[in-house]
Amino acid sequence: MDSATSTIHHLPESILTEILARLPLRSISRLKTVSKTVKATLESVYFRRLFVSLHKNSSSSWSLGSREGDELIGFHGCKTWDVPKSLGSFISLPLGFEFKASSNGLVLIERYGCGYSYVGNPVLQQWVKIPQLPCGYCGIWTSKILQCPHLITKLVARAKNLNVLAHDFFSDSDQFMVVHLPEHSNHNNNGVVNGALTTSGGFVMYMKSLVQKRGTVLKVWRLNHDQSWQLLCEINGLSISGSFVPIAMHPFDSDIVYRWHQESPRHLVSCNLRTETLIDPAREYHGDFYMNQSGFEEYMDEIGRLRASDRDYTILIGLFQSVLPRWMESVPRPPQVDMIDTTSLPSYVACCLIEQDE
Amino acid sequence: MSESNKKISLISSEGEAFEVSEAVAREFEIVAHMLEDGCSGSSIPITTVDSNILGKVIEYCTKHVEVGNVEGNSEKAEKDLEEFDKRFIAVEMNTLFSLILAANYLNVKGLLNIGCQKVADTIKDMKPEEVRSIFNIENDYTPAEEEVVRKENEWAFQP
Repeated sequence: MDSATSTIHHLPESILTEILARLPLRSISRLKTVSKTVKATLESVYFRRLFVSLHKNSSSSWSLGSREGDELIGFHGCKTWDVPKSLGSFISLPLGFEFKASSNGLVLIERYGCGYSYVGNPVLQQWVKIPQLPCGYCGIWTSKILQCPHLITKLVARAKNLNVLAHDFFSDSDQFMVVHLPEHSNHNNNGVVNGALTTSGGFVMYMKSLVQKRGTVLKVWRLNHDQSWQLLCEINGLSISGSFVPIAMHPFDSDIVYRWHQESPRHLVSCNLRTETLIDPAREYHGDFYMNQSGFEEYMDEIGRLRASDRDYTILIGLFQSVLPRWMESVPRPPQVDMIDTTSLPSYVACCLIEQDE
Repeated sequence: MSESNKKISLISSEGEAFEVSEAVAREFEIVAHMLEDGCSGSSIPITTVDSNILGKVIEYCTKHVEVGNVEGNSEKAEKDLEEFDKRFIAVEMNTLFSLILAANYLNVKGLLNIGCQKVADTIKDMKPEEVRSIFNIENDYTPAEEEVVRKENEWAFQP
């Protein structure tokens, strides 16, 4: 088809909108440069609703990695975004920084120990510096100091000391709700790492493997909104010989648990709780999937070193999960605050540190 | 059932008659509404759609009605239908646009959906200027304005 014959038809605007809403967000972003009218359509509330309803069955991209920025496993082939590479490859953390939190496509990074933090969207490449408190932007930023009854740990924890701390930031309270783990004191699995606390499908999940006479049993609980734990499944017969550690869950599909097999050759297995099958995670996605074998080995070695100092560290809590949302939104930014792009983030960080030293 | 044996003629813009069963004609929501409104005539003029495109839309609806009538073995039938849709929509852009316009006018939702998705899949990786040319959209940005919007969306232009 040559371009001369391709312009015979003028599609009505409503049909053009229907077509554009079937594109992934990457194409939509790019096509904002087509014309002002098209840009206005693409940024309208109507378009956003249409897009979200047309893409509701498409999974979004996600990534699991260490807080130091090593991506371990991820999927980026979603039709919602069509990002060309794994999420982890969108940002290399500035020296001395670590991932602190993520929500709705935004991630918070912080420099060890000195409270310098930035919030941003790695894919859209927009970052904003969070001022150190107390700040001069009263009425724009709000701060809240909470009483934390426990030491917050980073990578592994003792089962009997581990609690989930819950807080509603929109409440007036300055207290955490403390939720104990299920069966936290009953089974002592001879001091090997056997559990993980993670999130999936919008819930906090706790999973644990237990060695019993019949074989290794995997149990998965979900923390419901009334702070009760609901046992979702208890399966056995799925253990390949040798010991394994439940590492994480699929961020959207609570039927999929990722397990690390400890014995040589060490490897990751994806375990489907509903069909009770084990598969190689790379085969689950047919491409657009990232898995970092040596990264996993290093991560588990690090946990091994931590455990050398305390044999009771048995629950993994440290993997950093980042998930792309159903729609793209600019990083919220107060007036007078610079938006920093990803390429200039390291130099920006360096300048701030020099100012601080002076 | 006697009802489903009833035949209806759809008349294209050139005046050509296409005889179809009522069940197939009802896939055109616009025709279904006419029938419900008591328009009992056995021939219905479709003045904005030519014979070539009307024939194709009827082919699409006939296949979907046939598959809808088969009971059991639904998974295989669904797969067959998916294959049919894929082949059906693999046409050049002008025909595709005509099909979409016809599906929009006749209100055949399934066809409108696969047509729009096919165009979306085709333009997904195109440059903005190519998309302008396909849809005949005028660029109303000044070069400076366009550069600003491009900068804001830089991530989407990177490989």
